[in-house]
Amino acid sequence: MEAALAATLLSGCAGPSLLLLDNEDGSAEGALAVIDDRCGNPEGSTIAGSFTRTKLKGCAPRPKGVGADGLKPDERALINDLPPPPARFIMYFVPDTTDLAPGSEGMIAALDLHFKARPGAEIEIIGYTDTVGKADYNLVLSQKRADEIKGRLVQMGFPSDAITTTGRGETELRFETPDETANGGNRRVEIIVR
Amino acid sequence: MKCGLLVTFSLLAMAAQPAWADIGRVKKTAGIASIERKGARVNPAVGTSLLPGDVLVTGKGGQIAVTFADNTRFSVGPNSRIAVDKFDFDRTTRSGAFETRVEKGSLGVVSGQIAKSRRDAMKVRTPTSLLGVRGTRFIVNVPE
Repeated sequence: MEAALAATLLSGCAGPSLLLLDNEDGSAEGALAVIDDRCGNPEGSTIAGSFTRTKLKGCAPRPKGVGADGLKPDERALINDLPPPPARFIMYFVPDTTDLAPGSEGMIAALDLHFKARPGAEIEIIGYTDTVGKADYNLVLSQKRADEIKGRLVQMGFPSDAITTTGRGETELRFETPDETANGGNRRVEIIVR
Repeated sequence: MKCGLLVTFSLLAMAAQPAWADIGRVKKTAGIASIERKGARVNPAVGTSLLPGDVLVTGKGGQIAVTFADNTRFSVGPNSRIAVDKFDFDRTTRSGAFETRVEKGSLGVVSGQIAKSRRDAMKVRTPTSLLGVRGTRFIVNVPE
């Protein structure tokens, strides 16, 4: 009798399923949607709600709450085994140069420590400028800033093939300013370690 | 003077820019695990680059963790087959298209920039459904 009941319960869970969790940063809850063409719903049928389990079958998903403690051990293990979130470092520059501003020199050592503690790490360096000067000149300067930092890291023994560089010039200002405005917060490279 | 130097060097810098061929890298692996690539098997050592079309395969006790170029993160559980069918990512606009197929097993996901770029730019397929990912942390489980 018990065995029969267990078998029924097991078969009831045997199909593909989705477990939707909370967002890592505590922001608004996440969502997915069933978007099969044959469901005839161009918007998709939304699955929302943190800590809900949904059977993936048919066009009308019905999420069931499981609670934050409702994860199975293998699901908990899966979450624990996710790679750590990418980290971001910002370094600032002396106007119209690729020289680091004095306060940013120490960031190189911090980056070094962080990189070594992250297995299989790679680095993306994105250079930016403030709005002083022409946009195309600044695009070049921003790439030079990114390349300068890459060069220093490679000199320190960072693997060259784990570093990519991009220059974005005076786009994506960190501090919104009018054109031709010196701003130390905008003369920067942003370094993503992932 | 400084201006002239910058322009001269910039051409060199751009020529030296490497292509961003790999779409992600293995960050962690355990147990029986491999990457199937064009019929061959690649050992998923930590730091191994992934390419579009790769299939992440694990056996008993196996596990593979990957971070993609758009900051999406995967954790592949044991006895799984996860195919990365499509990964296009424009690093300048931070938009793209990402399609993954969970053939069997379990996949933990934290979605990244592609999922944010446009509705349903990131899709996950299972044997019974097609999901559009709107964010962010979830597990798809496909029992054998």
